Amino acid sequence: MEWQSEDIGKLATALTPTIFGLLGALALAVPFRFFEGFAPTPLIPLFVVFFWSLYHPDYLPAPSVFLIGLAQDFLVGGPIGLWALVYLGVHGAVLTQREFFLGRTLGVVWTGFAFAATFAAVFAWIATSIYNGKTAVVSVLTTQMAVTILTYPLFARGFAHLHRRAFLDE
Amino acid sequence: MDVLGEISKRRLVRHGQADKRYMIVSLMVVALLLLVVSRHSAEASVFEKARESVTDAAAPVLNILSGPIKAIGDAIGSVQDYFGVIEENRMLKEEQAELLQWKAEALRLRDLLSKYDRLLSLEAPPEIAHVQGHVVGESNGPFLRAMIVNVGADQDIERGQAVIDDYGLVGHVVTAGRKASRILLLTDLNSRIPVYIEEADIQAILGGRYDEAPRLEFLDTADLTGLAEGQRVLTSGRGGVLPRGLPVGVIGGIGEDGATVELYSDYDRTDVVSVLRYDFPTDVTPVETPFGELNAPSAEGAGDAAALNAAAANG
Repeated sequence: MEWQSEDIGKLATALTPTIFGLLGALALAVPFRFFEGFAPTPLIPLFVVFFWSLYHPDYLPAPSVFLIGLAQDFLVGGPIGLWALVYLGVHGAVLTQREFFLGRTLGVVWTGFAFAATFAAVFAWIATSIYNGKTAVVSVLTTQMAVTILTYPLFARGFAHLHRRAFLDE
Repeated sequence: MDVLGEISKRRLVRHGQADKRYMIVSLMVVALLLLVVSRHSAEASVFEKARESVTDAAAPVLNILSGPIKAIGDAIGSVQDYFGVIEENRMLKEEQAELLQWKAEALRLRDLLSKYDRLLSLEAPPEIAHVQGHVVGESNGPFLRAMIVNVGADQDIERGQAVIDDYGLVGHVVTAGRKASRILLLTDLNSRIPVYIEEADIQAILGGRYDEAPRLEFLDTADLTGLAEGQRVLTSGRGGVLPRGLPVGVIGGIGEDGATVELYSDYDRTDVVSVLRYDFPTDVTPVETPFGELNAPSAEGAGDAAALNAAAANG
């Protein structure tokens, strides 16, 4: 079968969330050093996993979520499987709550994201503490999650724009 | 944005949900297994190989990205510098005057040391080769302090080698890919470096605490009476991993729960680093000297000289 440009377009659309997630994981390894290192890089993969699990889970199946988490584990370092587990947990939780969140205002979805990020942070903290055999640092995790939650609308608006153009026009 | 998802909600169908759940749960089990297995065999070759491969694969992209990011950072930095230029100039002049005195002292000591070396007929210590690299990535995760540099096994970089910048020790190599390596910083929770305090002559282990100054852990038998703030902390070379005498920092504070160290390195500015390729001397043979028998070249003695070489190479 010959590849039509339409097929390539479809494939690109299908791969977009996964690629965004992988790029987000890569962004965590880029030395941005915002405000001389005081502001940590937001967890972009969490935006991607939350957003597409909610609005178009067909384009972000569980294996993609697993891959994004694993990429973060390898790129950033630390326990292998930790972020894969965290993102799969978020993915699963969002899928069960889709009915409630779909069609809601940004404010409501944002609150949902804040809950998801908090659960992710608490889980990651407990898992890391058990893994290292000593309590993990809280302050940096708190700052990173705060930055992540605060910047969600920024990314969500960008994703929503793309989502409307590329995903809903089919 | 407000209405995003309304159409999807109308279309929301429940078929295939059980399959999805099954897939999510199975992958979560796989992730959990990976977590447990890597906990007990983090250095197993398969994980190490995977880490090396991912570091290698990401390095070219990080290399490209880090250039413009650094340029932007530098531009912002130079605007800030502009405002403090007069004050900085005055401080630099004072510092230069002080350093000139130290240079004279260092030259005198080097001369003296070479005389002693000849007198004791010490063998030349193993050379430390410096491999320079750029920081192209760092771990921006909430639990880790690590950097990625763009040199690796192709330049004979190996696990455990020390990494320094212009100011002092940065950390050590934990993953060596072909073209890129990961460096565990001194502030990481898993970083434990054997050090000694120069003036007080006390051995300790420097343990990272992530966002706070690293803390010194002393032996129960250590005599801490000579310990004071401002004393230099250097690598001790114990454990046969890092060369002896690399500058780490100064004692920043002494409290009831031990002493903390202010590192010489400023990780928010670390850009160019040197990985030290260094063969630890393992062959210890007694040498006759005018003062009796001496073990030479001992690991510590050789390390001292090696560190001096390192300092000379730096200077």
